[in-house]
Amino acid sequence: MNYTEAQAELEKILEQLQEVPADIDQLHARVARAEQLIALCRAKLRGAAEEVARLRESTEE
Amino acid sequence: METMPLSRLATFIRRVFALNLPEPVWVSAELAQVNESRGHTWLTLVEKGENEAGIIAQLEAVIWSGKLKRIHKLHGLRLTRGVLQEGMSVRLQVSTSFHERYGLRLIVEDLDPEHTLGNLERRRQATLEALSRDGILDRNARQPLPPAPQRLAVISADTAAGWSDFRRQLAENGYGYSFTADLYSAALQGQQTTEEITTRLRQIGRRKAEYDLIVIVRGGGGKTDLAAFDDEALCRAVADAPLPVIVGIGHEIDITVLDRVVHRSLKTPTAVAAYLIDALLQTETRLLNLGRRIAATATALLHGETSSLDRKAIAIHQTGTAVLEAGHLRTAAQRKELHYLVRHQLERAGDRVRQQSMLLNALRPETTLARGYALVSQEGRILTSPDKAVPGKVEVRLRDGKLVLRRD
Repeated sequence: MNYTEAQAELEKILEQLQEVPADIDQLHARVARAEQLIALCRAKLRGAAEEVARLRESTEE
Repeated sequence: METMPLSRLATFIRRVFALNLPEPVWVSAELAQVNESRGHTWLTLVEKGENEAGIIAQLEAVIWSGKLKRIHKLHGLRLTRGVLQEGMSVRLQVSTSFHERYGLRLIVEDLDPEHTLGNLERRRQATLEALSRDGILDRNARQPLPPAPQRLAVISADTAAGWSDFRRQLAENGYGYSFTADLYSAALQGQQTTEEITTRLRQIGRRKAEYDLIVIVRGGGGKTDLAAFDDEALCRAVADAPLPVIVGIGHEIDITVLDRVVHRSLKTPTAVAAYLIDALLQTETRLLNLGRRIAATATALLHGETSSLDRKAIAIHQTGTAVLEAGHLRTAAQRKELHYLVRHQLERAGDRVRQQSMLLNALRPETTLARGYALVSQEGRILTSPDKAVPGKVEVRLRDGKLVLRRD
Protein backbone atom coordinates (compact mmCIF):
# COMPACT_ATOMS: atom_id res chain seq x y z
CA MET A 1 0.00 0.00 0.00
CA ASN A 2 1.45 3.36 -0.93
CA TYR A 3 1.11 6.65 0.92
CA THR A 4 -1.67 8.02 -1.29
CA GLU A 5 -3.82 4.87 -0.88
CA ALA A 6 -3.22 4.90 2.86
CA GLN A 7 -4.22 8.59 3.06
CA ALA A 8 -7.39 7.98 1.00
CA GLU A 9 -8.47 5.10 3.21
CA LEU A 10 -7.61 7.04 6.40
CA GLU A 11 -9.68 10.06 5.28
CA LYS A 12 -12.58 7.77 4.45
CA ILE A 13 -12.42 6.10 7.91
CA LEU A 14 -12.16 9.49 9.69
CA GLU A 15 -15.34 10.56 7.86
CA GLN A 16 -17.09 7.31 8.75
CA LEU A 17 -16.07 7.75 12.40
CA GLN A 18 -18.07 10.99 12.49
CA GLU A 19 -21.27 8.99 11.76
CA VAL A 20 -23.05 6.56 13.95
CA PRO A 21 -21.47 3.15 13.51
CA ALA A 22 -23.57 0.04 12.90
CA ASP A 23 -22.25 -1.71 15.95
CA ILE A 24 -19.48 -1.73 18.52
CA ASP A 25 -17.24 -4.16 16.64
CA GLN A 26 -17.36 -2.05 13.53
CA LEU A 27 -16.47 1.01 15.61
CA HIS A 28 -13.49 -0.73 17.16
CA ALA A 29 -12.40 -2.13 13.81
CA ARG A 30 -12.49 1.34 12.26
CA VAL A 31 -10.48 2.92 15.08
CA ALA A 32 -7.92 0.13 14.96
CA ARG A 33 -7.57 0.43 11.17
CA ALA A 34 -7.23 4.22 11.43
CA GLU A 35 -4.44 3.84 14.02
CA GLN A 36 -2.73 1.31 11.78
CA LEU A 37 -2.97 3.70 8.79
CA ILE A 38 -1.62 6.66 10.79
CA ALA A 39 1.34 4.55 11.92
CA LEU A 40 1.94 3.51 8.31
CA CYS A 41 1.85 7.12 7.07
CA ARG A 42 4.19 8.26 9.83
CA ALA A 43 6.62 5.48 9.03
CA LYS A 44 6.52 6.39 5.35
CA LEU A 45 7.14 10.08 6.09
CA ARG A 46 10.01 9.23 8.40
CA GLY A 47 11.50 6.96 5.76
CA ALA A 48 11.16 9.70 3.12
CA ALA A 49 12.78 12.27 5.45
CA GLU A 50 15.70 9.93 6.13
CA GLU A 51 16.11 9.22 2.42
CA VAL A 52 16.15 12.94 1.65
CA ALA A 53 18.72 13.54 4.41
CA ARG A 54 20.91 10.79 3.00
CA LEU A 55 20.64 12.19 -0.55
CA ARG A 56 21.47 15.62 0.75
CA GLU A 57 24.57 14.32 2.42
CA SER A 58 25.69 12.47 -0.74
CA THR A 59 25.29 15.58 -2.93
CA GLU A 60 27.06 17.79 -0.38
CA GLU A 61 30.33 19.03 -1.84
CA MET B 1 111.17 19.45 -141.89
CA GLU B 2 113.85 18.97 -139.26
CA THR B 3 113.43 16.23 -136.72
CA MET B 4 115.08 16.84 -133.35
CA PRO B 5 115.67 14.50 -130.42
CA LEU B 6 113.50 14.95 -127.34
CA SER B 7 116.39 16.22 -125.25
CA ARG B 8 116.94 19.10 -127.62
CA LEU B 9 113.28 20.11 -127.38
CA ALA B 10 113.44 19.81 -123.60
CA THR B 11 116.56 21.95 -123.47
CA PHE B 12 114.86 24.45 -125.74
CA ILE B 13 111.79 24.64 -123.44
CA ARG B 14 114.04 25.05 -120.42
CA ARG B 15 115.74 27.98 -122.12
CA VAL B 16 112.36 29.53 -122.94
CA PHE B 17 111.41 29.40 -119.26
CA ALA B 18 114.79 30.63 -118.09
CA LEU B 19 114.82 33.53 -120.56
CA ASN B 20 111.21 34.58 -120.03
CA LEU B 21 110.94 34.07 -116.29
CA PRO B 22 114.45 34.84 -115.01
CA GLU B 23 113.19 36.35 -111.72
CA PRO B 24 110.86 34.82 -109.10
CA VAL B 25 107.21 36.03 -109.31
CA TRP B 26 104.37 36.20 -106.75
CA VAL B 27 101.35 34.00 -107.49
CA SER B 28 98.12 33.50 -105.63
CA ALA B 29 96.59 30.03 -105.54
CA GLU B 30 94.81 27.52 -103.40
CA LEU B 31 96.60 24.54 -101.90
CA ALA B 32 94.84 21.47 -103.26
CA GLN B 33 97.35 19.00 -101.80
CA VAL B 34 100.21 19.28 -99.32
CA ASN B 35 102.65 16.41 -98.78
CA GLU B 36 105.90 16.22 -96.90
CA SER B 37 108.66 13.90 -97.95
CA ARG B 38 112.24 13.80 -96.64
CA GLY B 39 111.98 17.38 -95.36
CA HIS B 40 110.71 18.77 -98.64
CA THR B 41 107.13 19.99 -98.98
CA TRP B 42 105.29 19.13 -102.19
CA LEU B 43 102.35 21.29 -103.12
CA THR B 44 99.60 21.08 -105.71
CA LEU B 45 98.50 24.62 -106.57
CA VAL B 46 95.13 25.23 -108.15
CA GLU B 47 92.98 28.14 -109.17
CA LYS B 48 89.25 27.63 -109.21
CA GLY B 49 86.70 29.42 -111.37
CA GLU B 50 84.18 31.90 -110.11
CA ASN B 51 81.57 29.35 -109.04
CA GLU B 52 84.30 27.22 -107.37
CA ALA B 53 83.23 24.31 -109.51
CA GLY B 54 86.00 23.86 -112.03
CA ILE B 55 89.74 24.12 -111.72
CA ILE B 56 91.03 26.51 -114.34
CA ALA B 57 94.74 26.13 -113.57
CA GLN B 58 96.88 23.56 -111.75
CA LEU B 59 100.65 23.40 -111.20
CA GLU B 60 102.97 21.42 -108.95
CA ALA B 61 105.32 23.23 -106.58
CA VAL B 62 107.96 22.32 -104.02
CA ILE B 63 109.52 23.96 -100.99
CA TRP B 64 112.99 22.51 -100.58
CA SER B 65 113.86 21.70 -97.01
CA GLY B 66 116.57 24.37 -96.77
CA LYS B 67 114.19 27.03 -98.02
CA LEU B 68 111.47 25.84 -95.66
CA LYS B 69 113.80 26.35 -92.68
CA ARG B 70 114.49 29.91 -93.84
CA ILE B 71 110.76 30.58 -94.28
CA HIS B 72 110.09 29.18 -90.79
CA LYS B 73 112.72 31.47 -89.36
CA LEU B 74 111.38 34.46 -91.22
CA HIS B 75 107.62 34.10 -90.47
CA GLY B 76 107.51 31.78 -87.50
CA LEU B 77 107.08 28.03 -87.44
CA ARG B 78 103.55 27.96 -86.26
CA LEU B 79 102.18 30.52 -88.69
CA THR B 80 103.92 28.90 -91.65
CA ARG B 81 102.55 25.49 -90.77
CA GLY B 82 99.10 27.02 -90.46
CA VAL B 83 99.33 28.50 -93.91
CA LEU B 84 100.57 25.29 -95.52
CA GLN B 85 97.31 23.42 -95.05
CA GLU B 86 95.14 21.90 -97.72
CA GLY B 87 92.36 24.27 -98.68
CA MET B 88 94.30 27.39 -97.73
CA SER B 89 94.46 30.32 -100.04
CA VAL B 90 98.15 31.30 -100.39
CA ARG B 91 100.39 33.88 -101.99
CA LEU B 92 103.75 32.35 -102.90
CA GLN B 93 106.92 33.72 -104.43
CA VAL B 94 107.97 31.13 -106.98
CA SER B 95 110.56 30.64 -109.61
CA THR B 96 109.87 28.36 -112.52
CA SER B 97 112.01 25.38 -113.09
CA PHE B 98 111.79 23.10 -116.05
CA HIS B 99 113.73 19.91 -115.82
CA GLU B 100 114.41 17.86 -118.92
CA ARG B 101 113.28 14.73 -117.24
CA TYR B 102 110.85 15.84 -114.44
CA GLY B 103 109.12 18.61 -116.34
CA LEU B 104 107.73 21.85 -115.02
CA ARG B 105 107.81 22.58 -111.31
CA LEU B 106 107.49 25.81 -109.35
CA ILE B 107 110.17 26.35 -106.71
CA VAL B 108 108.80 28.23 -103.71
CA GLU B 109 111.14 30.97 -102.52
CA ASP B 110 108.93 32.69 -99.99
CA LEU B 111 105.32 32.96 -98.86
CA ASP B 112 103.04 35.76 -97.65
CA PRO B 113 101.14 34.74 -94.46
CA GLU B 114 99.21 38.04 -94.44
CA HIS B 115 97.50 37.10 -97.68
CA THR B 116 96.26 33.85 -96.16
CA LEU B 117 95.14 35.56 -92.96
CA GLY B 118 93.35 38.28 -94.91
CA ASN B 119 91.63 35.70 -96.99
CA LEU B 120 90.55 33.79 -93.91
CA GLU B 121 89.21 37.02 -92.46
CA ARG B 122 87.17 37.76 -95.59
CA ARG B 123 85.78 34.24 -95.56
CA ARG B 124 84.96 34.65 -91.89
CA GLN B 125 83.12 37.90 -92.52
CA ALA B 126 81.17 36.33 -95.37
CA THR B 127 80.14 33.42 -93.18
CA LEU B 128 79.12 35.77 -90.38
CA GLU B 129 77.00 37.80 -92.75
CA ALA B 130 75.30 34.71 -94.15
CA LEU B 131 74.49 33.42 -90.66
CA SER B 132 73.32 36.81 -89.51
CA ARG B 133 71.08 37.11 -92.59
CA ASP B 134 69.47 33.78 -91.69
CA GLY B 135 69.05 34.93 -88.10
CA ILE B 136 70.82 31.97 -86.51
CA LEU B 137 73.68 33.77 -84.75
CA ASP B 138 71.84 33.72 -81.41
CA ARG B 139 69.79 30.56 -81.99
CA ASN B 140 71.88 28.45 -79.61
CA ALA B 141 72.17 31.26 -77.08
CA ARG B 142 68.37 31.39 -76.85
CA GLN B 143 68.30 27.88 -75.40
CA PRO B 144 68.08 28.21 -71.62
CA LEU B 145 71.11 27.01 -69.71
CA PRO B 146 70.07 24.43 -67.09
CA PRO B 147 70.59 25.67 -63.52
CA ALA B 148 72.93 22.79 -62.63
CA PRO B 149 74.85 21.72 -65.77
CA GLN B 150 76.55 18.51 -64.61
CA ARG B 151 76.04 16.03 -67.45
CA LEU B 152 78.31 17.06 -70.26
CA ALA B 153 78.78 15.82 -73.79
CA VAL B 154 82.32 16.89 -74.63
CA ILE B 155 83.56 17.18 -78.18
CA SER B 156 87.34 17.18 -78.16
CA ALA B 157 90.31 15.31 -79.51
CA ASP B 158 91.01 12.51 -77.03
CA THR B 159 94.73 13.13 -77.22
CA ALA B 160 94.48 16.89 -76.84
CA ALA B 161 95.81 18.60 -73.74
CA GLY B 162 92.59 20.63 -73.63
CA TRP B 163 90.45 17.58 -72.86
CA SER B 164 92.62 16.37 -69.98
CA ASP B 165 92.97 19.94 -68.60
CA PHE B 166 89.20 20.27 -68.72
CA ARG B 167 88.57 16.91 -67.06
CA ARG B 168 91.12 17.54 -64.32
CA GLN B 169 89.80 21.00 -63.61
CA LEU B 170 86.25 19.65 -63.22
CA ALA B 171 87.34 16.75 -61.03
CA GLU B 172 89.42 18.92 -58.75
CA ASN B 173 86.79 21.56 -58.04
CA GLY B 174 86.94 22.66 -54.41
CA TYR B 175 83.22 22.33 -53.74
CA GLY B 176 82.89 18.60 -54.36
CA TYR B 177 80.50 19.00 -57.30
CA SER B 178 80.39 15.91 -59.46
CA PHE B 179 80.31 16.10 -63.23
CA THR B 180 79.95 13.40 -65.82
CA ALA B 181 81.75 14.16 -69.04
CA ASP B 182 81.37 11.82 -72.01
CA LEU B 183 83.99 12.34 -74.67
CA TYR B 184 82.88 12.49 -78.30
CA SER B 185 86.23 12.41 -80.02
CA ALA B 186 86.60 14.55 -83.14
CA ALA B 187 89.26 16.37 -85.11
CA LEU B 188 89.31 19.98 -84.06
CA GLN B 189 91.50 21.32 -86.82
CA GLY B 190 91.97 20.70 -90.50
CA GLN B 191 89.48 19.82 -93.16
CA GLN B 192 87.86 16.91 -91.27
CA THR B 193 86.64 19.22 -88.50
CA THR B 194 83.24 20.10 -89.94
CA GLU B 195 82.30 16.57 -90.86
CA GLU B 196 83.46 15.01 -87.60
CA ILE B 197 81.90 17.60 -85.32
CA THR B 198 78.64 17.48 -87.27
CA THR B 199 78.54 13.68 -86.92
CA ARG B 200 79.22 13.95 -83.19
CA LEU B 201 76.47 16.55 -82.77
CA ARG B 202 74.01 14.18 -84.44
CA GLN B 203 75.08 11.34 -82.09
CA ILE B 204 74.68 13.60 -79.06
CA GLY B 205 71.28 14.71 -80.37
CA ARG B 206 70.05 11.13 -80.24
CA ARG B 207 71.00 10.95 -76.53
CA LYS B 208 69.88 14.49 -75.80
CA ALA B 209 68.01 13.54 -72.61
CA GLU B 210 71.23 12.26 -71.02
CA TYR B 211 73.01 15.62 -71.17
CA ASP B 212 72.64 19.16 -69.89
CA LEU B 213 74.90 20.78 -72.43
CA ILE B 214 77.56 20.31 -75.07
CA VAL B 215 81.13 21.43 -74.54
CA ILE B 216 83.69 21.84 -77.32
CA VAL B 217 87.22 22.18 -75.98
CA ARG B 218 90.67 22.23 -77.50
CA GLY B 219 94.10 23.33 -76.39
CA GLY B 220 95.81 26.33 -77.92
CA GLY B 221 96.33 26.72 -81.64
CA GLY B 222 97.58 29.25 -84.15
CA LYS B 223 95.49 31.73 -86.00
CA THR B 224 95.24 29.54 -89.08
CA ASP B 225 94.36 26.49 -86.98
CA LEU B 226 91.15 28.23 -86.09
CA ALA B 227 90.10 28.48 -89.72
CA ALA B 228 88.07 25.32 -89.36
CA PHE B 229 85.82 27.08 -86.84
CA ASP B 230 84.85 29.69 -89.40
CA ASP B 231 83.30 27.08 -91.65
CA GLU B 232 79.71 27.95 -92.44
CA ALA B 233 78.37 24.38 -92.43
CA LEU B 234 80.01 23.71 -89.06
CA CYS B 235 78.64 26.90 -87.56
CA ARG B 236 75.11 26.14 -88.83
CA ALA B 237 75.30 22.64 -87.33
CA VAL B 238 76.43 24.02 -83.97
CA ALA B 239 73.79 26.76 -84.00
CA ASP B 240 71.17 24.04 -84.49
CA ALA B 241 72.65 21.81 -81.76
CA PRO B 242 69.97 20.21 -79.56
CA LEU B 243 71.53 21.57 -76.36
CA PRO B 244 73.34 24.75 -75.35
CA VAL B 245 76.96 24.68 -76.57
CA ILE B 246 79.88 26.12 -74.64
CA VAL B 247 83.28 26.35 -76.31
CA GLY B 248 86.81 26.82 -75.10
CA ILE B 249 89.00 26.41 -78.14
CA GLY B 250 92.17 27.86 -76.77
CA HIS B 251 92.68 31.27 -78.29
CA GLU B 252 93.35 34.50 -76.54
CA ILE B 253 92.41 37.28 -78.92
CA ASP B 254 90.79 36.06 -82.10
CA ILE B 255 87.12 35.42 -82.41
CA THR B 256 85.95 32.69 -84.77
CA VAL B 257 82.47 32.48 -86.23
CA LEU B 258 81.91 29.45 -83.99
CA ASP B 259 82.40 31.71 -80.96
CA ARG B 260 79.57 33.84 -82.24
CA VAL B 261 77.00 31.09 -82.72
CA VAL B 262 77.47 29.17 -79.47
CA HIS B 263 75.71 29.75 -76.18
CA ARG B 264 78.88 30.93 -74.54
CA SER B 265 82.47 31.22 -75.68
CA LEU B 266 85.38 31.12 -73.26
CA LYS B 267 89.09 31.35 -73.90
CA THR B 268 90.33 27.97 -72.70
CA PRO B 269 89.08 24.56 -71.60
CA THR B 270 90.10 25.54 -68.07
CA ALA B 271 87.92 28.64 -68.29
CA VAL B 272 84.96 26.49 -69.40
CA ALA B 273 85.45 24.21 -66.40
CA ALA B 274 85.69 27.23 -64.09
CA TYR B 275 82.53 28.65 -65.64
CA LEU B 276 80.59 25.41 -65.04
CA ILE B 277 81.83 25.14 -61.46
CA ASP B 278 80.80 28.75 -60.90
CA ALA B 279 77.36 28.07 -62.38
CA LEU B 280 76.87 25.23 -59.88
CA LEU B 281 78.16 27.42 -57.05
CA GLN B 282 75.64 30.11 -57.96
CA THR B 283 72.84 27.56 -58.13
CA GLU B 284 73.84 26.12 -54.78
CA THR B 285 74.00 29.60 -53.23
CA ARG B 286 70.56 30.38 -54.65
CA LEU B 287 69.20 27.10 -53.27
CA LEU B 288 70.74 27.75 -49.86
CA ASN B 289 69.18 31.20 -49.82
CA LEU B 290 65.82 29.75 -50.82
CA GLY B 291 66.20 27.13 -48.11
CA ARG B 292 66.93 29.82 -45.52
CA ARG B 293 63.93 31.83 -46.65
CA ILE B 294 61.68 28.78 -46.53
CA ALA B 295 62.93 28.00 -43.03
CA ALA B 296 62.40 31.61 -41.89
CA THR B 297 58.92 31.74 -43.40
CA ALA B 298 57.99 28.39 -41.91
CA THR B 299 59.28 29.46 -38.49
CA ALA B 300 57.31 32.71 -38.68
CA LEU B 301 54.17 30.85 -39.73
CA LEU B 302 54.63 28.30 -36.97
CA HIS B 303 55.22 31.04 -34.46
CA GLY B 304 52.10 32.87 -35.60
CA GLU B 305 50.01 29.73 -35.51
CA THR B 306 51.36 28.79 -32.10
CA SER B 307 50.41 32.11 -30.53
CA SER B 308 47.04 31.98 -32.25
CA LEU B 309 46.52 28.49 -30.84
CA ASP B 310 47.62 29.68 -27.40
CA ARG B 311 45.09 32.51 -27.55
CA LYS B 312 42.37 30.10 -28.63
CA ALA B 313 43.31 27.67 -25.85
CA ILE B 314 43.08 30.47 -23.27
CA ALA B 315 39.74 31.61 -24.69
CA ILE B 316 38.39 28.04 -24.64
CA HIS B 317 39.57 27.62 -21.07
CA GLN B 318 37.97 30.89 -19.98
CA THR B 319 34.68 30.15 -21.72
CA GLY B 320 34.65 26.62 -20.31
CA THR B 321 35.33 27.87 -16.80
CA ALA B 322 32.58 30.49 -17.07
CA VAL B 323 30.05 27.93 -18.38
CA LEU B 324 31.04 25.49 -15.65
CA GLU B 325 30.73 28.14 -12.94
CA ALA B 326 27.32 29.19 -14.20
CA GLY B 327 26.33 25.51 -14.22
CA HIS B 328 27.58 25.04 -10.67
CA LEU B 329 25.67 28.09 -9.46
CA ARG B 330 22.50 26.99 -11.20
CA THR B 331 22.83 23.45 -9.84
CA ALA B 332 23.42 24.72 -6.31
CA ALA B 333 20.32 26.94 -6.58
CA GLN B 334 18.26 24.07 -7.93
CA ARG B 335 19.54 21.80 -5.17
CA LYS B 336 18.59 24.36 -2.56
CA GLU B 337 15.13 24.76 -4.06
CA LEU B 338 14.71 21.01 -4.34
CA HIS B 339 15.52 20.50 -0.63
CA TYR B 340 13.23 23.34 0.31
CA LEU B 341 10.36 21.91 -1.73
CA VAL B 342 10.89 18.38 -0.41
CA ARG B 343 11.08 19.59 3.19
CA HIS B 344 7.99 21.70 2.65
CA GLN B 345 6.03 18.79 1.18
CA LEU B 346 7.17 16.45 3.93
CA GLU B 347 6.22 19.02 6.57
CA ARG B 348 2.79 19.50 5.01
CA ALA B 349 2.25 15.75 4.87
CA GLY B 350 3.43 15.45 8.51
CA ASP B 351 1.07 18.23 9.59
CA ARG B 352 -1.80 16.49 7.92
CA VAL B 353 -1.02 13.15 9.55
CA ARG B 354 -0.81 14.96 12.94
CA GLN B 355 -4.22 16.53 12.36
CA GLN B 356 -5.62 13.16 11.29
CA SER B 357 -4.14 11.61 14.42
CA MET B 358 -5.70 14.36 16.57
CA LEU B 359 -9.01 13.91 14.79
CA LEU B 360 -8.84 10.17 15.40
CA ASN B 361 -8.14 10.76 19.11
CA ALA B 362 -11.11 13.08 19.28
CA LEU B 363 -13.32 10.59 17.48
CA ARG B 364 -12.25 7.48 19.33
CA PRO B 365 -15.04 6.34 21.83
CA GLU B 366 -12.69 6.34 24.84
CA THR B 367 -12.25 10.13 24.51
CA THR B 368 -15.95 10.78 24.54
CA LEU B 369 -16.47 8.28 27.43
CA ALA B 370 -13.70 10.08 29.37
CA ARG B 371 -15.74 13.25 29.32
CA GLY B 372 -18.62 11.40 31.10
CA TYR B 373 -20.64 10.25 28.14
CA ALA B 374 -21.88 6.68 27.93
CA LEU B 375 -22.09 4.31 25.01
CA VAL B 376 -25.24 2.27 25.18
CA SER B 377 -25.63 -0.93 23.21
CA GLN B 378 -27.92 -3.92 23.13
CA GLU B 379 -26.36 -7.13 21.80
CA GLY B 380 -23.63 -5.19 20.07
CA ARG B 381 -26.03 -2.75 18.38
CA ILE B 382 -25.54 0.84 19.47
CA LEU B 383 -28.65 2.54 20.85
CA THR B 384 -29.12 6.14 19.90
CA SER B 385 -32.88 6.31 20.55
CA PRO B 386 -34.90 4.97 23.61
CA ASP B 387 -37.58 3.66 21.22
CA LYS B 388 -35.12 1.26 19.72
CA ALA B 389 -34.48 -0.44 23.08
CA VAL B 390 -36.09 -3.88 23.48
CA PRO B 391 -36.65 -5.65 26.84
CA GLY B 392 -33.55 -7.48 27.97
CA LYS B 393 -29.88 -6.69 28.76
CA VAL B 394 -28.58 -3.24 28.00
CA GLU B 395 -24.80 -2.65 28.05
CA VAL B 396 -23.60 0.75 29.17
CA ARG B 397 -19.92 1.62 28.59
CA LEU B 398 -18.48 4.25 30.86
CA ARG B 399 -14.93 5.69 31.17
CA ASP B 400 -13.77 3.22 33.74
CA GLY B 401 -15.78 0.13 32.89
CA LYS B 402 -18.93 -1.60 31.70
CA LEU B 403 -22.38 -1.55 33.36
CA VAL B 404 -25.11 -4.04 32.45
CA LEU B 405 -28.69 -2.94 32.98
CA ARG B 406 -31.98 -4.68 32.29
CA ARG B 407 -34.99 -3.16 30.53
CA ASP B 408 -38.37 -4.31 31.52
